[in-house]
Amino acid sequence: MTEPSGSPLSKYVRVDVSPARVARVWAGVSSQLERAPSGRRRWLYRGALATALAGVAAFGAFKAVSDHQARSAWQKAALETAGDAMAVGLDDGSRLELAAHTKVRVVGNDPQSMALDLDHGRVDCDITPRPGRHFAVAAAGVVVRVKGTKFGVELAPGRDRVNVDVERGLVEVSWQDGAQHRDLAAGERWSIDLQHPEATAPASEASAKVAEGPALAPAEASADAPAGASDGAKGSTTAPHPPREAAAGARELLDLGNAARRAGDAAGAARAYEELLTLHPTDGRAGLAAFELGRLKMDRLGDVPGAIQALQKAVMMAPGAGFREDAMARLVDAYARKGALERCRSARSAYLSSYPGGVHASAVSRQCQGR
Amino acid sequence: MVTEPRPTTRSGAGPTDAALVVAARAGELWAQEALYQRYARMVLALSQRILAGRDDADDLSQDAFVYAFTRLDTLQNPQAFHAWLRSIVVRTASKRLRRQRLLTRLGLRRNDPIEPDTMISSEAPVDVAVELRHVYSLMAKLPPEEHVALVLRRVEGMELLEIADEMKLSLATVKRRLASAEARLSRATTKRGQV
Repeated sequence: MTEPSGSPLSKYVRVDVSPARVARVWAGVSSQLERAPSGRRRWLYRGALATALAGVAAFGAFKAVSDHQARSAWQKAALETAGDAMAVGLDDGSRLELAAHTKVRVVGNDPQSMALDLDHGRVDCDITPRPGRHFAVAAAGVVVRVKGTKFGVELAPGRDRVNVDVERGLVEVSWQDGAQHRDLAAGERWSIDLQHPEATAPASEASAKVAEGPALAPAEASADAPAGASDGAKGSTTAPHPPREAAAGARELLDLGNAARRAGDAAGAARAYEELLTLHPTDGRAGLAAFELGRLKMDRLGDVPGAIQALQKAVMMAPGAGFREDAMARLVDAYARKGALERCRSARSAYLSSYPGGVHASAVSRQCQGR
Repeated sequence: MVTEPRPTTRSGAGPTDAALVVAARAGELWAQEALYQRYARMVLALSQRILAGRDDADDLSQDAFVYAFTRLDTLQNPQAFHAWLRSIVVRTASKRLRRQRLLTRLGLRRNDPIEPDTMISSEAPVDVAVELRHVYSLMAKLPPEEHVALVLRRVEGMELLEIADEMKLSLATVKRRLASAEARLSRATTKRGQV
């Protein structure tokens, strides 16, 4: 084995450990720690590795090396959990969470669609909307198509009942080979008795039939329906959730953007951040969303003018934020890349006067050198 | 092996790691934050050098700290927090790379190429820059465990035993993985030399 050269090379690898970055990561750590006592997240993340292993075990044909072959193999894949739950992040920022004792087969995966078949258990899907791409989960002949974002599908252990609940957005549920269908909106829960599917409420009649009650008895929320479904659902196919935030809030959009960014979907992340800025411009998270949007546009999407706009917003919206220094330094760089030297110099002066000993001071000082 | 400068408190004589770990175990949030502030730079820098990606490195650092803080009760020697945390970063990085590799092969994740030039400091001597460029150019093609072992050996300058300890692998396994990685590195270097 070749010996490495004398001194370690680590000191010559460029790293960013600026206070802003340290503060940003701490915000994420403390936020996760706040949620940690529930324990749920802990076993979801612990299940992430199990996801990979379960996936590998299930892919009989996963010796393929080319993308094409791998995609074909994926279509025969199954994800299965034992005692632990697992979470899978998809390329487009979407996320699947399989409860314990769940098996899901991937029956279709191409640029236009992704289709899952729930063999047993429960899968929660947080789907990043993507124009032109359909996402569907089937469970014992009941098909749930995504029109919005976050929903769960559960097939009861006896395979005699399917429960669907929608946390965000809109889904279409169809059954009896598509002969019956209905939309479910955020906050709605729906259940079908597979022994008597014909008695389940079709599409738009559901709301009216909720009041009628007895006619829908076979599909009513029953003892094996998830907790929270029963009160308002007696004698109906649909029931409101316990109070939940129906519309996409700033926190959800920021989480959505962060998830997409982590999964490498820069365009999807940018859309989420942009939506946050449009819908919630005065929210406390808007500044951070603007900063992340600026970073993405600059580093990943090659949109320098867009980055400038976003970074300007970040600087204005969060005067006391930890990322402001980063945003101001990036603004200088963005102007330089655009060739807007006057603005570059002005932004440089602004940075240097705000952060004379800042971590980016030497790099910023070297900017805007053209004529 | 050269490690990051050992962080201390501003006075240079803050509470020991052991004291902070004991307080953090007792649920003192200030102690968790103090440990974070003490080691955040080390963790972020190590994450960036292993993953060669800024965004991924943020996520890895976050996951490593959350893992550490939620499992402090499993740390037998509180004064060894620094080494324990490094080991968590290294093993979490391996897991993360394995998962990313799987999702990439399934077509569920894009494999963004590593751009070595963005990783190398402008102050690096030419021979160092060349070596780093070779190492980071090869990363995306290496199996995750070889990738991590090679960074620890070549970039961090660690001894084999230290690598085995941090990766929680046997010395023989580390040697095997490094031999394989070094052979690939050698072939890649030769190939580039010919071009």
